Amino acid sequence: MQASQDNAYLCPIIAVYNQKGGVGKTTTVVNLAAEFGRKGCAVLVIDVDPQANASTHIGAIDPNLYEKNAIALFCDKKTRTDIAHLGALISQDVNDGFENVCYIPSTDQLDIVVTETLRIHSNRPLEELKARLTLLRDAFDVILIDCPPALSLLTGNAISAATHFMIPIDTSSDYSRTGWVNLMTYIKDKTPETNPDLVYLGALLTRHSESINVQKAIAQSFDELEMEMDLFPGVGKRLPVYIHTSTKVGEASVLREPIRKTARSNKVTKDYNDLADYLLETLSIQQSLKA
Amino acid sequence: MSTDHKKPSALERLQSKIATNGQTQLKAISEVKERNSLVSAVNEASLDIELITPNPFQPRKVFDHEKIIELAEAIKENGLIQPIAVRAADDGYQIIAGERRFRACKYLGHTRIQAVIFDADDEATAMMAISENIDREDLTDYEVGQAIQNIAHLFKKKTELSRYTGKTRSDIYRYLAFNDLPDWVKGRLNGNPSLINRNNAQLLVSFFKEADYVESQHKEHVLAAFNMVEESALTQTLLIPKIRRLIRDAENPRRQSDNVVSKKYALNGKNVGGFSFDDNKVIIKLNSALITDEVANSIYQMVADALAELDAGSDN
Ligand SMILES: Nc1ncnc2c1ncn2[C@@H]1O[C@H](COP(=O)(O)OP(=O)(O)OP(=O)(O)O)[C@@H](O)[C@H]1O
Ligand SMILES: [Mg+2]
Repeated sequence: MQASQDNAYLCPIIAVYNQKGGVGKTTTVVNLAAEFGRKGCAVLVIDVDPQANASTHIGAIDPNLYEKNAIALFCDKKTRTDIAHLGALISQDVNDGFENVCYIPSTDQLDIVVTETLRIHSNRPLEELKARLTLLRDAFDVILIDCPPALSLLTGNAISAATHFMIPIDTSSDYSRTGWVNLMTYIKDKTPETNPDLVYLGALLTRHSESINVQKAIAQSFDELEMEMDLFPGVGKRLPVYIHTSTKVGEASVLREPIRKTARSNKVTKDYNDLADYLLETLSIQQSLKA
Repeated sequence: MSTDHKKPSALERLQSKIATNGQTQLKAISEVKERNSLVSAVNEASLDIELITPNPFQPRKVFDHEKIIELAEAIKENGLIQPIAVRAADDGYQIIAGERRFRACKYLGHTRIQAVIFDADDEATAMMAISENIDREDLTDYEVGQAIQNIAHLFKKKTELSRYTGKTRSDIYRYLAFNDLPDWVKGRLNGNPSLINRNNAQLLVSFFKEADYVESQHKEHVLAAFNMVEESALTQTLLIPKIRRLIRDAENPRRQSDNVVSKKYALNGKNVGGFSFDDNKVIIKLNSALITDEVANSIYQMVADALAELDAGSDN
């Protein structure tokens, strides 16, 4: 009897997005994926950034060498309806430390090919990714999308396809904030048509330190901004967990492993663990784990 | 002794991992380059649009004018996003990829166009046009078939062709069947490439080879069926059966009934089944939970008796 209920579970699709570069999007996707996987979730990471940082970090094969990649998630008609074609894009060759994690690799050609193809050949160029990911929602416990730092067709697709999104904010400078305001305005304008149910999870402060005045001040400014703009009736505004700074983050990227494997008792390891716990709880992801 | 075996320091471990990462990436890049080595980019330039001619290997037969205008609008707004690809030809340049962009720029009255000039031979040109085009959603099976036909001779085996184009081998045979169609069919296809899909191409080729097919007598019926497809009065999957039907009806005229009978069976005001009757078939549908074996058997027997009577009648 409970089996039929389990079948009804449709997993959340979380887009991690900020058009400002270098704010910790990829770091967050990679480490959240590892934490979710460690806790027993079946995780799928979709890399839609032509830089392919998440693919390189998680995958044991160079993204250049994949014959199938995220291009087919947008441009191949067959993956729209045929789960077998879609499944062929998913790679399971992951580096150590990424248990239960699968991913669809990106390629440096992604942006050019997708933009050119969809502009001409798609009736709904912003909803191609959504059509595919919908087919995968009952096969995983959580899907994470790593976005490029640009307001492009790729990120537009990610935002339409997602059920939830979070915005990493680097509090070490004021640059993230200006980007954030533009971005939220864009999302507020665009998503009512393409994705009315999108839920804003909140801003994720990264490389954050409460003991540095400027960072503390910037963090507080977000609380005010979010209130002022009254954007989404989301679960949270600023996420209750923030990510500390650590040089181990960079080391983990060199070693191509989650930070937990590089430095088990590091603050950032704990931060991503806590963030994963918070999301499991808030999004009721754990329900599917009981099965 | 012990110093020889000292554990690598954290720095050394990172250094060696970075070195490996770098090598892996370079190796991957060189592999990909090798795969693409048929073509080497030479340079990018703004070219006189009049010097440029289309690619003879271009698989696309019909360019949707509206789509070209749409693209032109986009180019007008944003500029040409991606240069077209050309190679030097006799006294100008030939397009390798980007014929639609080229047409759109012409439509806008541009006199120059941004292009990457490649140093590509015929084979590479054909391949690039194909790989640019073959997976485009709006390319018809006929156009893909032509494109595959153009490069088929470059491959020794169908398996290689299949791997290169990403199509299964049986699909390759279907695509290649277009080439074996008679010229009068190809003529129709050139005007309307979506008339026949690859399945029908293959089926038609075998149909034309059947012993009792006589072109002088039967061609008109094939054409009639094509017309029906074009008028959306016939779905492509029924093309061959329809042709056979038309031929049979012409040679063996029989009572034509356009009446389609369709009735419902009801029990206590609820639908429990239906009865329908058209030119092709008679269907009786009943919810079997409501029917005893006896009733089911008597329906069967009634039909069997009726057929037996027909059989007896035709002997006379
Ligand atoms: N918590 C952290 N502590 C220290 N360094 C960090 C932290 N998070 C990220 N970094 C570093 O910041 C840089 C940018 O991080 P990352 O690549 O995750 O950002 P991004 O938003 O994905 O960038 P892009 O916009 O280019 O995709 C990296 O060098 C990363 O190692
Ligand atoms: Mg990134």
